[in-house]
Amino acid sequence: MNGVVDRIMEVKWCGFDYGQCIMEPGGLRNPLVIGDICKLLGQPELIADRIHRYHVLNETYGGYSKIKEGHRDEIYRYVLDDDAKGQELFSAKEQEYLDTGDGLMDALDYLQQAGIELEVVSEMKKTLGAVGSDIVSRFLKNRGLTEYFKVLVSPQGKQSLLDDVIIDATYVGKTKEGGDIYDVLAADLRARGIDTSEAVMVGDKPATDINPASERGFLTIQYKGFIDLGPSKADLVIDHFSELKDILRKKG
Amino acid sequence: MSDRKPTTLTIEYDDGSSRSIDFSSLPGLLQFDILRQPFTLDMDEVRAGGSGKFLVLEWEDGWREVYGLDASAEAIARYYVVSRNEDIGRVAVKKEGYPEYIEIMRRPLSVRRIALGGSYALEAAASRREGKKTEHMYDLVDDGDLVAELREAFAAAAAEQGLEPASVSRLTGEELRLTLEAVRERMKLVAGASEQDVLAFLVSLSEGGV
Repeated sequence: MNGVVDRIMEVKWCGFDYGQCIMEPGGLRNPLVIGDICKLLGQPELIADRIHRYHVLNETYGGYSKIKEGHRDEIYRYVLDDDAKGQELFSAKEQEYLDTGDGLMDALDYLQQAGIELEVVSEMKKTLGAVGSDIVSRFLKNRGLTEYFKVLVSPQGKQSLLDDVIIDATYVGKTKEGGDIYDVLAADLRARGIDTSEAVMVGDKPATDINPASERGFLTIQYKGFIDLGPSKADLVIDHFSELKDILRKKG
Repeated sequence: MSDRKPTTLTIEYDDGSSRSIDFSSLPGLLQFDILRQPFTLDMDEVRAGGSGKFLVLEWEDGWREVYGLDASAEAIARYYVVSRNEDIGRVAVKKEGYPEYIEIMRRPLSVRRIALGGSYALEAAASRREGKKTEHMYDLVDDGDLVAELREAFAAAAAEQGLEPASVSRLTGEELRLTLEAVRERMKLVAGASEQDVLAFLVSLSEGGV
């Protein structure tokens, strides 16, 4: 495979997907999140009922990530009874109980010290509120990951995580699933002297993180540490972020 | 909770009728659940300091919780944690509005058939791991007619009691309840959540419905 010799990749740039990759949602157990919220609202007697309603939404839309991306208003209305404070607490608890992927910080330390540029490439299609107030930015800041990631690339644009401003609107409206975000990214990297063969994308989803990137000449690593979404065009597969220390080397 | 003891729980219906029950005869957890609802909040009892006995817990992340205890509580006997893989079956039923959601706690990996508008065998399909959780998906494959089998079993059970199936639903009140319970036991059929549901199901079988 191009650029891969015995599981060694020489790269200048490494992009990471967000959901189920650098961020693991496994800590968002309903009894914990809904339980904490109800107790903080002084309504512990409503925990079981609200968990049940959240399960109903899950069955309606086929997954909690789908509810949060497309039907967040129904969480607030149907599960939390339009309680304004409950909504605030839900946003806060989501952040509090999200985890980072196993071995991530150690791997990022290694990559940064090796001089490999790091960016988050997320399929964050819509966001409410000011730049920098989205769930991805807040997660990166709250976990100290802005030490490693200075920018966030998404269909909202390329965003500086230090200043909370859009620094490149060329990305606006471009998606991972459509592949065009990788076209813009490829041009962006070339302008910085980085060919796609010197850039690797790490993510869990074949349809958004791996295949469209691979088709545009990026090296790709499929991360299966949290979830295995099946075969892809990935050059390599890893189950733990520590494997990146064995695989990635700084080119040049 | 209040030191005063509730005596009766009454439900009033929109047709003017009502049902009452001796509160102490309700399941203990249900009594607790009712008495922790906000409408029973007794501020005089709060002002009096409740039972005077409380359990307080503190977590590593600073989270703290209080549980009220019986006035006779003396000391903590033990604290322990049980870690175990739990299997929980989930049934989603399409209906008007949001789906109905039912959790199956009894050996969910051993459910063989499921029936609603058809009778289906559960065939193991893909298993999907997400972190520490694994979801085992199932395909629904047409398999016989579970309800027809139950209809035949009902007829047989009714016959053992000297009854024609259709005559069962003509009974009323306590006689109907006792008859249905006897038939249910012979059929080895139970309610998942509400005894009224399984009894109504048997009446439907007797009338050829379902």
